[in-house]
Amino acid sequence: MIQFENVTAKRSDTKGIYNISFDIKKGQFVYLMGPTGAGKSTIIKVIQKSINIESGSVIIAGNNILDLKQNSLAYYRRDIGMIFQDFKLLNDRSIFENIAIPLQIIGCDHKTIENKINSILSKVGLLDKKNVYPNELSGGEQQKVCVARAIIKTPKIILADEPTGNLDPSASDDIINLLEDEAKKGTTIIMATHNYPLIEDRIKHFIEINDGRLIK
Amino acid sequence: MEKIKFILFESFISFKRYPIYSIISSLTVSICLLLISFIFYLSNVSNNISDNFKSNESVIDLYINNSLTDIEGNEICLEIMDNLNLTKITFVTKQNLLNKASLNKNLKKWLNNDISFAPCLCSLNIIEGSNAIEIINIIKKTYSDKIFKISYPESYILKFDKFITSIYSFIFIIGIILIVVSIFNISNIIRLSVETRKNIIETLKLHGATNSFIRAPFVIEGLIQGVIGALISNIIIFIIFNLITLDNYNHFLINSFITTISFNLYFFLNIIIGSLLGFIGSNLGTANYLD
Repeated sequence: MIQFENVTAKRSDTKGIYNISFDIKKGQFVYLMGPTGAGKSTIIKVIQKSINIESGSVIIAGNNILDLKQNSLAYYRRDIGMIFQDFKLLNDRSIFENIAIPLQIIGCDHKTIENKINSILSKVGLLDKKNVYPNELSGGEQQKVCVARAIIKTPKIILADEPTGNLDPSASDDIINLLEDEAKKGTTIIMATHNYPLIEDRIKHFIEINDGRLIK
Repeated sequence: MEKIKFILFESFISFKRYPIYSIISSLTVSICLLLISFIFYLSNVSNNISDNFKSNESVIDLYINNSLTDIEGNEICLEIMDNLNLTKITFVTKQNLLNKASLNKNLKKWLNNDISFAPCLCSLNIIEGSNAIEIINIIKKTYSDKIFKISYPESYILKFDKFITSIYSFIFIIGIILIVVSIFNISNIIRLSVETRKNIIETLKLHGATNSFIRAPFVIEGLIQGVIGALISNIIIFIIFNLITLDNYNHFLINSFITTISFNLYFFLNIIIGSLLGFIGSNLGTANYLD
């Protein structure tokens, strides 16, 4: 599903990844591990094509993303769900409106949007809070909303960049449980983290990097 | 259809979400439009002054020989009008001409109402575009024995014409500068408004929104702000139209300041320019975040 072949990409003169190669299969839940500044976020940004690579190739679902034209980039990103450490929720919109955004982008009608949101909010346990605003929620709840927003369009890939970084252990467990459920349905998930104790009991597949280079 | 609904909803809801920015943008548009309307008004006034000046001052004065009587002078005057196809002439009798001259009381007494020495005057209003010098040459050739003197303020009119042309050019340049400044001004205001919402743009981009989908609500919002700005400036112009009246003055220069452009034209021009300013400004304002 996701194949890196000798990929080198730089975010600045000092930050980047060098000659990284790995292969992630469909439905795998892969942890991307390494200390802060190791290059985890760079890998995620390369997959979502927020930064360009200098050499190598990145094959996503059989397509080399280097061949993606500017106007097809938006359609490519519709198959990717993003989860961030700082949530990136829009504070001037309700939870319902935040989760609706990916569906509105693809042009779903209001009835479908409402049904899907009700279903996903029930799943994450926030149905009673669909009309409140993000800053009225706890960090754990906000991250659940962020997960709901990422999975509502049933993407092929979910990229989670330190999703538990700002959460307590209990909330972190809830988030990882939600992501594991998605992986079981066939969604490929990459979760970047530097918190090894949190995931050591769950870990099946992992990629470890340091200073932009692959360790395992 | 759902996408259009979303774009329209986002465009209108932003006025509720960001009222301060919306008010500032609309007021900026209205100030720019007022300035543009003022430039438009000035060009109209200079045009009026030019027209009125020419029709009042482009006159060839023919002083008929004093050997001829008023009746003979008038006949010559009418003949010239017919021959040269002129539409307006003014004949001034010897007596009226002397009255205009406002002579000293003692001099009048000495003349003892003997006005035979005075010429009568035939003033020819020249139609715009006709050649005054050519007309003068024809009159000289045909009526050399009957005309005592021909007077035409050619250099004065030419100078005024040049002056008005320079004013026109100046107003045109100022108008262009003002439109360019307005576009940048509005795009900066909208850019500031977009700056506060760059997280929305980022979120939309990461979830696969196309550039046109992201840009559309901002552009529509800019258009609406442009129209609101135009309506504000139209209200102000309407008030000015009804407050200022110059009807009591009877001088062509003062009358020239009364605009010959109707309020409706100002209204539609403001709406069109306002929408354009909003459209271009919002496009420039969002371009940085999308490219």
